[in-house]
Amino acid sequence: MNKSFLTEVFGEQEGFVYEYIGTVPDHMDPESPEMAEHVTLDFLAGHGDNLLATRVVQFPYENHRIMLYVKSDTDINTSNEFVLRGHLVPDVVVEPITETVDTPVVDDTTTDTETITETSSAEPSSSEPTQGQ
Amino acid sequence: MLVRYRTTGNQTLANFQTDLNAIITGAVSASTDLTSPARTYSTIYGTYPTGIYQKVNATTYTYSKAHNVIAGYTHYFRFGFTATTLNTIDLAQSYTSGTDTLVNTYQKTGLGINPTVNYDPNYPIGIDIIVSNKGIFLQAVTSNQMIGIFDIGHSGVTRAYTSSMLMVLQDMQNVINYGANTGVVIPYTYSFDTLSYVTNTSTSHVNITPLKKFTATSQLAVFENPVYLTNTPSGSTINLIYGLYKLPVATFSGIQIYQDSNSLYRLSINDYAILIN
Repeated sequence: MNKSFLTEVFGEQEGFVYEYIGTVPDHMDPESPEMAEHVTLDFLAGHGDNLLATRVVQFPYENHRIMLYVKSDTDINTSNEFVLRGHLVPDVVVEPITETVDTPVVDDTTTDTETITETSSAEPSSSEPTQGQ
Repeated sequence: MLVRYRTTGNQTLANFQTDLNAIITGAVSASTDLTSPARTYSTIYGTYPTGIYQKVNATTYTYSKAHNVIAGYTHYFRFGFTATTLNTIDLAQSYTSGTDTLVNTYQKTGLGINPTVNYDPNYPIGIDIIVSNKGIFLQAVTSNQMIGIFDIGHSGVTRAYTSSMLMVLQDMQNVINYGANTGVVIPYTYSFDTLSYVTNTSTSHVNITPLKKFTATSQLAVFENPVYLTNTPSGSTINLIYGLYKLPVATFSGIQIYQDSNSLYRLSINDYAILIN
């Protein structure tokens, strides 16, 4: 899933997001705390660490997909009822490679000289050919 | 209740854990109820809010908190420790007692609150702990932390989408004029941007800062305006933050305690006041 969307939903810059593909009890409201508890316990039962920070969100407009966020540095899923859909580790920003050229430091005097030279060269260089004629 | 927790040189993390638990569960009404390193210099203001907090697990530092006015909204928080510090705080929508599992949890990490601060009369700081019916707040200036959990009121959105939490994590260093004013996190609330429940970290305070005015006897009148929070995913609806007030700028210098006209205590911090009673 789109990382920026998942970041917006879970408000986190790190962690993993799994889709729950296990069985949802018929009587259970998908948006209820009982549903969140059901999914959370399903995940943690496989992992064995009940101190993890997790959140369960259902997307009604996406065929009621149920997603579980886990605050973790690594993918710790051990259950086949959860499928990894995204991780919120920030993308590595690759700086564009640019060729650097050492340019000599010019002082004000040099600049003035260059300006004069450019001004001179901008004028019609009529003297040299004239002299040759 | 405010406990200005001040300790002597033989303080340990285990003592702090014991005292913190005793403060939250109402076992402390005088400094003599604290462990020995905290008895001499700690001071206590106000009274404990009965019937709000409960420890829900014998091993972990996990607690339930009932909302101060809105029935049916009990949320849960948990403190996590390293070998030397209080390092994490979790705020969760619900809790499963059988497995000691927080459900729909936002965890703030990296607190690094070191409880072994030796009291110095010339530099009398330590850890301030507020436990009221409206929230719990910890301030450890030597560890650069001012973090709390506050009740919030309903908006039209939270009334309709009732799984939305009515408590928030509040970083008091990230408020109006002291940070980017993005210090509120609602772990689980409904968003009209995603049409789902989300963790809202883009929430800010909405408030009118009171002006400084003086009485006929030239005393400063300390006005307290209520503080609301808002965020665009909820359609910019607003929720009241209980027990938190905005003060005129620079009413108090640093961190101080004062009483209102009903003799109820407040702790002032960064031009805000936190209700103690």
